[in-house]
Amino acid sequence: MNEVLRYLSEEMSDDEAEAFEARLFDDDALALDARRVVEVRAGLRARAALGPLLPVIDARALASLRATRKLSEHHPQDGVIDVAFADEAFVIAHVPVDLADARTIDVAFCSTDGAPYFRAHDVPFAETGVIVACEAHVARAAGTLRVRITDETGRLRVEVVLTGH
Amino acid sequence: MDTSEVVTLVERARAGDRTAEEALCARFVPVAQVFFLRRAGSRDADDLAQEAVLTMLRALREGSLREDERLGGFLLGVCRNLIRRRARSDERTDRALSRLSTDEVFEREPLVDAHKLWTCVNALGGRAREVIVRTFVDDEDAPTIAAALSFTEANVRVVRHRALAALFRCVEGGDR
Repeated sequence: MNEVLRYLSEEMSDDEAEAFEARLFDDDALALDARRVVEVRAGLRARAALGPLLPVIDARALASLRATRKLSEHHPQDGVIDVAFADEAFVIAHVPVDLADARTIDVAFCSTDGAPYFRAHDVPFAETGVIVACEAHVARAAGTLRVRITDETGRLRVEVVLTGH
Repeated sequence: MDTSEVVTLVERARAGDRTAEEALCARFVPVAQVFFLRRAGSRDADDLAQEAVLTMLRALREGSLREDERLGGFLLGVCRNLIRRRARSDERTDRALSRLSTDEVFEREPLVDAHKLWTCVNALGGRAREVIVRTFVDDEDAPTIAAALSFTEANVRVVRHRALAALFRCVEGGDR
């Protein structure tokens, strides 16, 4: 795979790239690597067409999502976000937390017993909090989610419960 | 797929065997896409790859392919011609009339699990993820990404290579 990635990343000289191309079209192992790259790219594009690649977004992405998708937006009350599902595409949770001193933020989506379903690493955040964008069908299927926000040291900054009916 | 298999598929495709054509597409469309991702950029890579493979299939059907066992080399020549033509006049043929569906070709046996890919993208660092998304989803070239992120172009290339390597390690191995 490394050769294909070096080629794609334009790290080969022109002569090296031309020699590589001659092998790329005839070598089965390189063709398989090429297919993996193409599938990853297609997968990213397909996913991006559905909505944000990350379940945590910045204000600009939220503005874009507001313009194109039906959203329900919520703020936690005593650490709980209670969603009455309708026909929204995304549930947006505005989670307030002081992150002025944080360098990076991770968000974990966990079951009620704390076992993580999914983690998003190094997500966008503002000094005043994060914006969680959860696909409505995922939130509905999960029932209740614990959303845990930690900083670069692993310290828990805040946890909110997202529950729906 | 060794040379003898390619030759067999070429013979079958020449005889009108659609399955053989699809097998040749599955083998050669991705390498053409990778070629054009590097040589023409993400925005045009799919269309150009489809055009190149269609040209190859047409040559095969019309009997103008001289050496069946050199199909890969023939396609590389077609790809390079398309790039030269594009550089000269940005000339395009009517691709809309003759699109191959590469999605259909890959639908049967995907090598990459979509959910795992999403999980792995979320496991990347923010900078790495941004460079990959800008490259492969937003179709931005290295100078555009460099300007947007205040990187040098060389830095974009290094970050992109490392990010792709990390992504593939995760997708293929379970490195979260």
